[in-house]
Amino acid sequence: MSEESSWRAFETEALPHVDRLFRLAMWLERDRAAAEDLVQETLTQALQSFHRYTPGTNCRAWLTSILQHLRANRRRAQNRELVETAVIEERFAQTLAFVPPVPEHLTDEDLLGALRQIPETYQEVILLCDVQEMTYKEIASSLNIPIGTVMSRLHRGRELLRVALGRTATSAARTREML
Amino acid sequence: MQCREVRELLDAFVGDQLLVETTNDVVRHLETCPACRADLEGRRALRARLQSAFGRAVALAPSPEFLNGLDARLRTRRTSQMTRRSWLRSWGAAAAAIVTAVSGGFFARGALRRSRLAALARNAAGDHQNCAIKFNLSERPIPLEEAARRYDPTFAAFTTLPAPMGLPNGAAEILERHSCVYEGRRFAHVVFRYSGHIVSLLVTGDAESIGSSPEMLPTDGPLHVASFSAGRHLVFVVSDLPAEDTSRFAQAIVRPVSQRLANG
Repeated sequence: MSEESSWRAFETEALPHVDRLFRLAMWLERDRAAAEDLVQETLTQALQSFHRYTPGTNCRAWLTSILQHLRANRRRAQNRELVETAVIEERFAQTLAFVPPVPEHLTDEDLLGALRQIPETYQEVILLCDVQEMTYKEIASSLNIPIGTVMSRLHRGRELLRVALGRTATSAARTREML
Repeated sequence: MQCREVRELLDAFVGDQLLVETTNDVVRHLETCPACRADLEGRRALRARLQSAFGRAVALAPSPEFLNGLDARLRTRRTSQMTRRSWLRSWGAAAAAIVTAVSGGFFARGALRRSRLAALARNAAGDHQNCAIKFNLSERPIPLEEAARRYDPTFAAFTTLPAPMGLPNGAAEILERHSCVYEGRRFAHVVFRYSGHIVSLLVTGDAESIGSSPEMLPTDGPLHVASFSAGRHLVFVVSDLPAEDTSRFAQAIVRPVSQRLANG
C-alpha cells in the first residue's frame, strides 16, 4: 500500500473516532493538555502501525487499546499505579448490602459526578464497556487483565455506581427542599 | 434460572456478551418475572444515560483548535520519522511537508466533518438497533403526520414513500413508518424487510452535507450505513446486510427520497 493510500485508509477508519477517544482521554487524565498529548501520541502510534490493523474489525477498540497501553506506560514511568482493586473491594463491600434502583430526574452532571465518586479501576471498565462499546475480550486485552476480572469489575462497578447515584439523588432532593 | 442468577447476568445480557444458550435462558426467565424485567430496564436506561451524558459533556469535548491542526500534525510527524530513516527520501518528505502545509486547512476541516458524519452515522445505527430491532427507545415513536406538524414539515412526504424497485434480491416490503428520537436526534424512520433482513431508512434535518450519491460510512459494529444528502437533510440506510447490498438499497431509494426532500 502506498504512503498516500495508507493515509487515506487511516483517515477513513481511524479519524472518525477522535471525538470519543478524546472524551475518554479527557475523563481519565482530567487535564486538557495531557489528554491532547495522549490522543495525539495514540494516533501517531496508530498511524505508524496501521498495517497491523485488520480492516473491518473494531477500529475504535484498537485505538482505545493503544491509548490504554500508552497511558499505563506513562503511569508506570511516573510511579502512579492504580490503587490495588482488592483493597478497594474490601473498603466498599459494606456499602453493597443494598443496591437501590437508579433514581430518575438526574442530570448529566449528576450522573458523571456519581461516576467520578467510584474508584478509577471501576470507572475505567464501565466506560470501556458502556461508552466505548468494547467487548469483554477487547477490554481484557486493552487493560491486560483476565476476562473474569473484567466481568467482576463491571458487576461491582455498576453496583457502586448505583449506590453513588442514590446518594447523589438524596443530596439533590435535600438541596431542592432547602431552596 | 433463579432471579439471583439472572440479575448477575443482566449486565452481560444488555451488552450482548452472553452465549446464545444463556441468552435464551435469561429471556425465558424475563418473560415470567416482572421484577427482573424492571431491573433490566433500569440497567438499560443507566447505560443509555451514561452514553449520552458522556457524549454531550462539553467539558470532555476536544477543542476546535486541537482538531483543526490534527491531520497536519500527524502527517508532519509521520513525514519527519520517515526522513530520519533515510536521507535519500528527504526530498519526498519535504515535498509532503509542503503539501501538508498548503493543504492543512482543507484536511483540518475534513477531519471535523468526518468526525461529525461518523457521529451521525452512529446515531442512525443506534436508532436502527434500538427502534427497528429491539423496540427499546426511551421516547415512544409518533406518526409521521404528527412529527411533520410539530417538528419538520418534510416528514409528511414519507407517508407515501414507496418501497424501492429493481433490487437484485427481490422486492422490499414496508413494515412501519413513524418518527422517532435517538440520543436527542429526531428521524423520519421507514422500516423495510428485504432479503430476510430489516433495513431502516432514517432521515434527519442537518446542515452537514455528504453528496447526493450514497456513500458508505465507517461503523464499529456489524451494521452497515450508507448516507446521502437531499435538500437540507441527511439520509441514512442502515442494515446488517453486506455492505454491497446496503449500498445498492440506498442507490435504489435515492431518487424517490431526493424528490420528496428537494424543497425541504
